[in-house]
Amino acid sequence: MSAAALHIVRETAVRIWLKTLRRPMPLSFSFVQPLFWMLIFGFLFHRFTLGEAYAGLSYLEFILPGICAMTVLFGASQAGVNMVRDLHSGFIQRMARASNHPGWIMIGWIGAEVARLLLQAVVVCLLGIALGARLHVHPGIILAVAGLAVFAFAYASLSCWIALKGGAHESMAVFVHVVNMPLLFTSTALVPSRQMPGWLEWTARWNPLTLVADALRETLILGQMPDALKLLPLLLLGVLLFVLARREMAHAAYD
Amino acid sequence: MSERSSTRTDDEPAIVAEGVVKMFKGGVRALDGIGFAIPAGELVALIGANGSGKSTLLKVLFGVIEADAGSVSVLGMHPRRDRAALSTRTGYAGQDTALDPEITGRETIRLFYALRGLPAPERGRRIEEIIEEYELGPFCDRRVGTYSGGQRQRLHLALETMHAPSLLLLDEPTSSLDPEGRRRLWRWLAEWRDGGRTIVVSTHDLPDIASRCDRVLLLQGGHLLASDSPGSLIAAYGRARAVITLERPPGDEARGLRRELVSLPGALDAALGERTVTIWRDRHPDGAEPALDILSARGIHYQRYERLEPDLAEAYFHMTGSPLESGEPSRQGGRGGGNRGGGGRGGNRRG
Repeated sequence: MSAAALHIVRETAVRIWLKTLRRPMPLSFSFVQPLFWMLIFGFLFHRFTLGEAYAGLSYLEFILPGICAMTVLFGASQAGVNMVRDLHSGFIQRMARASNHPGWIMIGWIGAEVARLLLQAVVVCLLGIALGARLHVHPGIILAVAGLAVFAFAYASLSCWIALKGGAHESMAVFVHVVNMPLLFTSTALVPSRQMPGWLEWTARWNPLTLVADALRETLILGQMPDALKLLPLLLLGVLLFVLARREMAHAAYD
Repeated sequence: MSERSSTRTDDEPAIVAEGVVKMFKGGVRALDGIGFAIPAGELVALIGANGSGKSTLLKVLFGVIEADAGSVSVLGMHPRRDRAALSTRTGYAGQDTALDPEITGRETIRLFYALRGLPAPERGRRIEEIIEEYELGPFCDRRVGTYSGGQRQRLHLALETMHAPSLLLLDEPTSSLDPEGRRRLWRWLAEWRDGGRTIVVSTHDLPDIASRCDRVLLLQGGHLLASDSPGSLIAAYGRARAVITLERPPGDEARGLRRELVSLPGALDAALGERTVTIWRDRHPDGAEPALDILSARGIHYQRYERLEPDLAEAYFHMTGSPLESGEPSRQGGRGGGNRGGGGRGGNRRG
């Protein structure tokens, strides 16, 4: 990466962070929401039988990695919401026309969102510890966090692509309901796969949210090394969605 | 603006357009076969009524939209195919200022300094220079959302000129400015032109165009009506006016007055307002105003008599066939569709 490219990435990311910090309401809500999820789901399913694979774990401990992944999934939608706002003001088109490097702008933009999402995941873990969850410190955490970052990158890219393609706040609402909700309820974020009906268990196995939630669970809760090969599809998904978002950003500058 | 700007040294026009057509949905022909050439180093005003195609033309020149037919060459490049190279040598400030209200002016300049790939080691010094040059200092650390229209416009221009482009395309940059802001902007435009840059500015400021610009492109309904120096257009299409302010609104004594005034030697048209009489001529008569004798003979008393020389506004209304102040159509009417001026390079260099 050249110095000029690095400069574009850094300044684009700085702008996103400044905007995030200057809008305290959405930022606060993004930290409070996972707490509600942990409390509500934790109380709702505290008698839920997790099965032999997770013997000795509380339901809170089981869902904590899932809530981390959920937080990233839903938080990624915010990237697209911000982008729609900039699209309407014409600022994003202006940025793209000024630089001729839409890819670097996208990396800066999505990179800033990924950093925010990872920070939120850390806060979720701290909240979980405060509520009584016991977490392992294992070298596998590096791989699991890398997987979570790639997952955040992929879904922030998807959110940006939909924002640029649809150009309307409504398209982001549809994105949350049509993509995020089915993804959540067909994953192992809240329920072990063995407790699912056969068809759902098969579906959950290929769900990106499952891949990242399981990787986090294996290392944080079970103290094991996650399977790097299982995270590979996330990387491919991330690259594909980023290419789509970058292409749409280039188109946004010119009619 | 810094001295970094590249100045064209050859005799090639900065912009050449031939037969440019742009259509929008519903069959609207925003540009209908426009052709012109703009020599490098000129300050060119793009004028015409709202919806005449000015903004569309600027967008085509910058490559924001593509012409459906015809050819466009900007600084020797194709606006769409060569847009990466062209954007480093061109600034385009659209009608909407398109700024982020949540970050400060300084943060916006820092961002665009990076986006334009300007040298990082000079960043701090250059940003301070830009802030000083555009007089942004008193408010550049406030969020853009708190700026006035004029402050937004100054930041808007700073972002499009910080890379010292050799061509500037500005779409109605004076529309949100107060008189002081307009004067400042026209001073900048003249300075940039004197520094060797080519500037195409869409505007309705006809008096400033007459005194500052080298060339006028007049659009009407997607057609180019004229391309020439303001002086040539005024000489060819401007009309002298005599404006007589009456003591009181005339009654029956004004019956047939207009016809009598129009029959005066050299008179092109006349209009009666409630307390004014206006007479249009190619040039004012030598000696006394004969219209005053006509009024006197009818017992109509006047307070004031003014002779106004031909100006660009009169030439504009004449060329576009706009109604006179009385609401009556001009006798000579507009002539859409043709290029009446020098046709680009043929026009006079300075007005």
